[in-house]
Amino acid sequence: MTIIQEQIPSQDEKILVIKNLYLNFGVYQGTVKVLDGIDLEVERAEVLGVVGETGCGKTVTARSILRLLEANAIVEKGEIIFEGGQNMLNASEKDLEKIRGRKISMIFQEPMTSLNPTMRVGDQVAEGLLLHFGEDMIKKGVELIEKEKPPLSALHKNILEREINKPNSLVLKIASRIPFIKRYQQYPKLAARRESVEILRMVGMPSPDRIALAYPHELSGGMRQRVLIAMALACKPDLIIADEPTSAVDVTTQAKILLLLLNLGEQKNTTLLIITHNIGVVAEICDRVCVMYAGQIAEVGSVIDVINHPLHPYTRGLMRSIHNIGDKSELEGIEGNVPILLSPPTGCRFHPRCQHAMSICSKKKPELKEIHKGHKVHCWMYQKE
Amino acid sequence: MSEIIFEVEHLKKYFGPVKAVDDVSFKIRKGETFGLVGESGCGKSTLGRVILKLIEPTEGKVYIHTSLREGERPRRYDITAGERLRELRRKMQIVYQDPASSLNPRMIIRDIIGEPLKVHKVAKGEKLQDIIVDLLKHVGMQEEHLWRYSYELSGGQRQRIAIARAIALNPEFLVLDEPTSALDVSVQAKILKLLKDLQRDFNLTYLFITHDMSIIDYMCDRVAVMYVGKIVEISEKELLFNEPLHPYSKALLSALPSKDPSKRTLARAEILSGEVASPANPPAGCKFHPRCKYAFIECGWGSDDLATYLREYMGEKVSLKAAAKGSFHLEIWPSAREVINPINVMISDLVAKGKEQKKPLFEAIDGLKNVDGRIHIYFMEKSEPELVERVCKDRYVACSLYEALSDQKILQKGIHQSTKKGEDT
Repeated sequence: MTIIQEQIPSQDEKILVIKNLYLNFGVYQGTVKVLDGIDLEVERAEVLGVVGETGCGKTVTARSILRLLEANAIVEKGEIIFEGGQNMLNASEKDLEKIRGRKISMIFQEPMTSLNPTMRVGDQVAEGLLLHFGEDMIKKGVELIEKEKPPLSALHKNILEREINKPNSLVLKIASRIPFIKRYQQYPKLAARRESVEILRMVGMPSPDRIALAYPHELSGGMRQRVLIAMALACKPDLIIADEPTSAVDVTTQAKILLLLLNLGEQKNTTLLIITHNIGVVAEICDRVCVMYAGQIAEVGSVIDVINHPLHPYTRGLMRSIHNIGDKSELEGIEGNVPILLSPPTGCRFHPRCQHAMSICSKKKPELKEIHKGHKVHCWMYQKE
Repeated sequence: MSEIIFEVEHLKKYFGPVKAVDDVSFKIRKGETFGLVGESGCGKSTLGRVILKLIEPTEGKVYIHTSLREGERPRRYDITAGERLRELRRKMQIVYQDPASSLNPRMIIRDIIGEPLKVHKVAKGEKLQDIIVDLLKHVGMQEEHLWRYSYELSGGQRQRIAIARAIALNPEFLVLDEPTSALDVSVQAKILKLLKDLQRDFNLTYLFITHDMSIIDYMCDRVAVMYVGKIVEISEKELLFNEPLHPYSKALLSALPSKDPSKRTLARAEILSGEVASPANPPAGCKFHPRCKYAFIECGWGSDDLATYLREYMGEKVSLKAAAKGSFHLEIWPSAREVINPINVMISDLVAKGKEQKKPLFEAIDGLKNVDGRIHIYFMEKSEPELVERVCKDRYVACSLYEALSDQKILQKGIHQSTKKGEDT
């Protein structure tokens, strides 16, 4: 692909920093305290996994990065700094529009519902290209005219060239209303559509030119998931957030999609933030992992540290709840239930279910303390008051 | 070897053209956990319901071996014929996937668990209450939960209630249809452990339906692997995990993510090409062959395979007509839009080249006829491979690869070598 010029990676190592994020949802019964002081740093070109059980706030964290939250979400305090610059939480809608899809893109959870059922798949992929690379697409449209010489080509080419130089001129406004002449608009779209076929090919879609013309309902779950990935990749973002990218597909398809994500991350130097409840997915593709429990971060560290040598009692319980093939030991699970976040436990939110709970645990929240290089734990067992 | 409790013979369930369950046979032994694994849409849940006659089967027989009265000698009852079905319901029960929708939201827990006991007139009044409390304790809940509604409970607790209801009548056989897939892992572990404990305490036999191989490994003694309505392999769990025979089982196991980051397996995962076949119009021959990397000439290549191939490589240049879906006869003619001349030369060149390259799709072509500018292609007719006992006792596989090989040979060389021939072609 030629449209996108190489970006100069900034010197900053941390592509995204979330600082002390508190977030509530206002509901009829009161306020649900969903996020309770999230601190997370995402390094450039890494694959970071966020794991946790239903309702632990992992999806909310991801959505708050792109400010895709419901209207009843209230950010109490905190910062989300992207590429060392702007705080995403204060960014204007106009700035966000420039970032969404272009700098940070998201692969949504449900491939069934996050595609537009009335649009062809190819057009949905092309949408981002037209929005963020409008000028490139016009240039490509001009090339297309030169190559294929359709009727009225000289006129259309002329108008498109004007559009590049003076995007809002009066001539364009008039031209866009005259029959036949207004057809100049189709060439950038056609160019974007051809580009989208290439992107679909890149994500391993069989016969992408035919698939680009299909509607979402004609595709299987795995193929829809790949369309979503193609949409996320279209504008070559620096950071891709994948929210449960494989939870709606079968294992054989899951392997396919994970390999695809991993290869793309490696080739394009893209940072991947993967949100999942599946420890297997994390163990296979992540460099670092962050374990969340009830709106708090329990543990962060390299995958080997966290999964093979967990420190936090919750992570340990989680690991004892998962069966490894061939393992003869019994599963244990974790006693008790996930707290209701309308009235969450004070201090460390895990303490009512924790075997090692001490008196301090219910009184005060521990810090996210670094135990050894890069391995941080949010637990009183490893720190003093 | 313990006795058989449940027998399924040539069971079929068609929903119109959709062959959800297509000629399935297996036996379940007393006290074992028999796993049924497959991907979504393969018909495993339908099978679980059909064998309990919750859905009427299209064809086939299901038997249960049990005694309905105490002291009576066990005999074989025909479930599909509906022989004393109401009494038999006490002996076989089911736990559904989603506890939120399988418990009546307008009933309190006492009534949910008590309903089967009342229907079968086991007890009433205070005695009934005692039994219910006892059941609650067995599934790890307390007496106080008696008066709650199901929506007041968490997902794990609801599933415990569903299990208590299922074991209320002292059944011998339980179908567990993905009982933990709606739950978080920490809760899932607890429920699986509960199910194991109950099996030991009440001497239960389970049919465990799941898509999760690690649950199969944790729970089951024997496993049946399903693909598009068919059982492709039945085996002891250990044997299956160590050396799967059917190429589909192999792919399924290799795609499983490792839970140890220091031993990643994803890079070695076998990636299946294409999509799962549609049960409404499955391909001819073995249903897995279009995606199988070991596929060879005997797999049952037909019109669908050639049609897919031609559409991929010739696009709109030709029009195609198959005699029927999954047939062995394909008609090809030049499409009206493009004139390619002469089509018969082109197609026969393609076939000859394919045969030269030893592509199984072309090797399986039996005849090629040119009638009035239309090319008729005939494939060797091959029926679907049967599930046959191979290698050792109680190991069944449905794959043409093994038909020509002796058990000795498969054992000696293992699947990788014995199927080498298939790989070459």
